[in-house]
Parts: sequence; C-alpha cells; structure tokens
Amino acid sequence: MGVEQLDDAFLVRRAKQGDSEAYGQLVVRYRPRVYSALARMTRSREEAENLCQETFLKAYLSLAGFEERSSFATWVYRIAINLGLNFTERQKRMVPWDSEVHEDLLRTESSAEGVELQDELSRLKSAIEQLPPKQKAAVLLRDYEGLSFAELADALNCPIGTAKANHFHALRNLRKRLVGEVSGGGR
Amino acid sequence: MMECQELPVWAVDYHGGELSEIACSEYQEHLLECESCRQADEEYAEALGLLKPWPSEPPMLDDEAFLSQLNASLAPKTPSLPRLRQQPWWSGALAASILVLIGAFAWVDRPHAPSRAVQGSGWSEERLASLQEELDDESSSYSEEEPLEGETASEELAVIEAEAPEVLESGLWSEVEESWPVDSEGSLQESLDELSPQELEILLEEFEEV
Repeated sequence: MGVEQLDDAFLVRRAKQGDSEAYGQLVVRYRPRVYSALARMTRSREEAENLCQETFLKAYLSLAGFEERSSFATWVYRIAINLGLNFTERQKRMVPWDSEVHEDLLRTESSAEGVELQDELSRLKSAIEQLPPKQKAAVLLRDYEGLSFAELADALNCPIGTAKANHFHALRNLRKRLVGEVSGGGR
Repeated sequence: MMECQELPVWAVDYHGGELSEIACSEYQEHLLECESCRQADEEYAEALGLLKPWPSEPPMLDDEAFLSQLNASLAPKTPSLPRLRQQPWWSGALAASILVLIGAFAWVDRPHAPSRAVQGSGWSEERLASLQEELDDESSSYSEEEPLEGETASEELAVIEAEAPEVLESGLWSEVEESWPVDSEGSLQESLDELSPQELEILLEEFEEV
C-alpha cells in the first residue's frame, strides 16, 4: 500500500511521531483546497502561496497539540481561513488580482460579451473585497469553494447559525454595493 | 413560531432547500405578515442571482517546489535535538574519584601490594568493574557547558608530594594517570582539581596507608 492510500488519522499519527513523509502526504492532499480558498481571499497568487506555506508550517508546529477532535482537513482549513482573515484585516485596500490564468481567460474573450463579462466580474470581485472579513470569507467559501454551512462554521470557528447569518448579511451587502454601483453608474 | 431576528437563518435554509414542508409554509406565512422580513428575503434572493461563476484560481506551485520551500522554512524552526542531560556538579568529581580508586585498586591488586586499600573501600572488584562500565557509558554525555564546582586540589597534591614522595616515586601516580579515560587533554592535576575536599581527603588517606 502506498502512502497516498493511507487515511488521514494514520498519517497524522505518523507525522506526530516525526515521519516527515507522512506529513508531506497530508500537505499534498490538502494543499489544493487550502490554496484555492486563500487565492480567492487574497486575490494574489504570491500571498496565497505565502499563506499556504504559513498554514502548513503552523499546522506542523502545532501538530503535537492537535487532539484530532476534528479531521485534519477541517483543522488545517481553519488555520488557513484564520490566516486569510487576518490578511484581509490587514489589507483594507484592494489587492490587484494577479492571476495570469484569469487574465488570459478574459483576454481570449474579445467579443463585446467578453468585455461585459470582464466588467461584471471585476465589479463583483471589488464588491466582495469591500465586505467585512467574515462576510467576505462566508461568500468565498460557501459560494466559490463549495463549503457546506457546517464546514463554513468549522472554518470560521463559529456556530452554524452565525455562519448562515454571515452569509445572509454578506449577500445583502453585496447586492447593495452592486446595485448601488449600477444605479450610481447610470446603468 | 418564527421570530424576525431569526430571519437570516431561516432565509438561508429556505433558499438552500433545507426547510421541511411545514417549515417552508411557516416561513412564507411570516413573510406575508412582515414587510421588513419580506424585503430582506427578496434582497437575499436577488443577491444569490448576482453571483457569477468565478474563473479558477491561478495555478499553484508544484508539490515538490512547495515541499522544498516548506522544509526550508521548517529547518530553523524544528525543535533541536534534546540537549544532553546535564550532570549534577558532583558527578564529575564522583567519576574522578571512582577512577582514582580503580587506579589504586589496580595498583594494590598486584601480588606485592597490600590489599587493605581495596578492602577499606568496601567495594568489590565486580562493583568497581560495574562502576567503570557505567562511567564509560556516561563519559560521552558529559556536558561541557556547566563547570563543576570542585575546589582546587593543587595544595593537596603538594602535600602528597611533600609528605609521601614515595607514593609518587612508586609509580602509582603514573598508573592512575594511565587509567584516566577522560584525561586526554588535561593533566592529572587538572582532574584532581575537580575533586571535592572530602574526596581528596579519602584519596590522601588511601595513599598515606600505602
């Protein structure tokens, strides 16, 4: 049996005993999800990579204290979201989106429809960016990362009702910003 | 019965299709009766429709590069190996005295030597051998960081030289010095400097008896 087939709990136990290969496998297993969330939260490839590093570094150094009351995935995701929220708190300004893929995708849309799509996405991202950190995380993690509300609550370390309320208020705020912008822009 | 302050949770469950049929009816009835909740619900529903598909995030580093960076970050933070066990201050003196006694034992064990010294110590040959083994095991883990607190033995050695020069001339000192395993750099005198006054006194008595 290869190490990639071992379950998380076993790998965590091995990692706690100093098995670096086991921890490496956990990193490989959960980095895409962690990176994806952080990339959306930071809108910066570089920051997402940095925070991803910080997440797994912090997780490794805290591994001895991880009591496995939640899954490793939930635990490490929570660390990542906390780092993302802290980053968002620090970065009150708009961070330019540096996704080459994103820009390439949009550049290929040379039609008027493509330009309109680019415009709409740009406004949507800008509106999400301006939301309070937890509301922003609620939208990004729920609507773009596909988390259930239970997972969202775990990631935000709050009751599920609070997670739902965050999402509710986030969307209403988002609408206000987008519709207000459209009205203000004469659209 | 639904309360207005519960609207966010009810609205999220309602639009997420998570309410039972009965709960759905209750929610709809509440909206019919409460204009502010109805408006909030409409705004939430409209906002759900405003969310557009978002192109996937930029590609991340490959696993190998990421793990390499992570290892580099971990290197200076990884807890260092446990420090060698600190020996109590008297352990060096004890070890030194044991070695001296072993040296003395080796000398007195010769056919011509009197056996009183060894008998007087109360230690059997097996016990001394066992202590020697323990000492050999421990000698590699001595910490160099904490100086021993032994007092100088220079004066005591001078007394031995003055009062029992035959001991020095007999070759006992050289035998003791040869049996000293940790004295690769220092002299016997430096090693004696680590002995406590009580241990030196015992040693002196042993030699005086000789």
